[in-house]
Amino acid sequence: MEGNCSEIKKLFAENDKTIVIDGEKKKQALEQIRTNMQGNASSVQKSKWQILKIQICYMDKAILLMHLTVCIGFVLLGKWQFWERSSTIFACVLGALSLIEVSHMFFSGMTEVEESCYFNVRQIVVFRMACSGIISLAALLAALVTAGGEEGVPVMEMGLYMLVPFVFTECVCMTVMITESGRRNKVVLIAAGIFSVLFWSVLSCVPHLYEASATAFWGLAFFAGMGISAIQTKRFFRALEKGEILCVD
Amino acid sequence: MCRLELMGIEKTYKDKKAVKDLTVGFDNGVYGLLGENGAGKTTLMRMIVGILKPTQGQICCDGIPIQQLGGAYRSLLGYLPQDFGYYKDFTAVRFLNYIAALKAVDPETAKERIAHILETVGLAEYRDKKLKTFSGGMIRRIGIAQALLNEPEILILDEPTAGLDPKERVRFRNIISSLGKKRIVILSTHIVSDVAYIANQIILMKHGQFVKTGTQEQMLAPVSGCVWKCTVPEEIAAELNETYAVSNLKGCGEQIELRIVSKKKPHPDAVIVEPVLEDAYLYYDI
Repeated sequence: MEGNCSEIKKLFAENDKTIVIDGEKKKQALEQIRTNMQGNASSVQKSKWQILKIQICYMDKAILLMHLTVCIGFVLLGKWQFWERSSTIFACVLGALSLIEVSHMFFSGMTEVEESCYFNVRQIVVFRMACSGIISLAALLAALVTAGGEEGVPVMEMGLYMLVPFVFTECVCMTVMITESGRRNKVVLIAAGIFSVLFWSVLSCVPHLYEASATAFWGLAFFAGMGISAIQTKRFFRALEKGEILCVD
Repeated sequence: MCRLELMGIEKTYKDKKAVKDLTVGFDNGVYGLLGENGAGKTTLMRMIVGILKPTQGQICCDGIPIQQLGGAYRSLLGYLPQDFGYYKDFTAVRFLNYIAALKAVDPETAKERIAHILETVGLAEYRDKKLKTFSGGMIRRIGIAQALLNEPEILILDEPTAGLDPKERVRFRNIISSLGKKRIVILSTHIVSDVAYIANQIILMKHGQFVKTGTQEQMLAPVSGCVWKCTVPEEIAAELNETYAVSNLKGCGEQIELRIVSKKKPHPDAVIVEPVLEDAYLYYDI
């Protein structure tokens, strides 16, 4: 039976060699079939924006609200003393919160159902990453402007003091989220976030760290962090595509 | 109506083959996947849904690989996983609205459908209660409600009756039977009687392979003449239980009544009886 199958496949492959396939027409035909299928599916919305709007309305917003609260607190930081150290620590907290917000769907065990939906897990993750990223970056920017305006601190340096711990904390949390125990257990991810905050708290006490001579170190750390972050994000999406991390058991 | 085809699909986890070279086609109707734990039912269903990618082979809907169809294919799907997760603090209505949004059902249609589906699954009066207050059976019912929200053409139910009490199981069977008339329903279970009641086609799975496929009659035909019943003392019952595949064992006073699946007569007093699906399951398992 297996032999017959491979012979038939060979025959098909031989015959197909002579057929010229027009790539453009093939694409059009596939698009037409997709449209027909969506026509079969009753009342499917075509507009992604509409889907996002309704999602925002019904999604779990508890962590999002917590994130917003921390952001507001962070913006007010501009008026604080020891702004360098404080901004480093707060940026860590924001980084951890951003990832916890994204990972919330894994802890609920909803990913299997969500992946079977029209708007699937990868799209939800992108949407949530964008939401939490925009909120965090807006807070970082607002804090930067506030501190820069009122305290007269150098904007580039302060940007680095915030972005480096933010990106590194995201990397640490994402590394944990890719592991099975990190996805199954919220505590592990929170612990990773706390670890990162503690690590940066200790590091922020190192003498001369916030002096102008250390700017090159911060710059290097930023680019390294961005690189690691890109690799981790790619790994995470590849794992999502493979599907195994979506399964509950 | 659409046709779903599995063409030589395989799934390998590291060094273990969970599903081996499966080829089958599905048209409208209820298909019951029957097999013990670890037979590969859940892996197969996850591949059909598109959560897992087959290591080899292709799954096609109306002749096109499901990966190419993407969202168009998912808009035809309804899926109830074995371990159904949910947001505990959501009310039933909010949860269904959230899923409706993911399924891209427009809000007006979603509102009507949610009311209708909650009625169908008997949860209308709990619509504003939080899911964390629901019993296991009620959660299962919410699970099937979310799977039906987009009026799917392909409905995949993994162990839909697990953890349900007898009354809820009967209700579920009736819901699923009525759904199979207009769509492809594939359900997996290891509760043989569920499949016997609901499925038009039965697929028996073992070690990641199809052992036997067919209607209930086709499954039972080869078993006819191989199912025996006898009433014997306890010691002999223990012996027979060791030697043969016993599909039922019932105490009758001092004696034990056994239902045995065997090609040869297991005991001089044994008489042939009509086979049922549970006997067939044991027969193909031998």
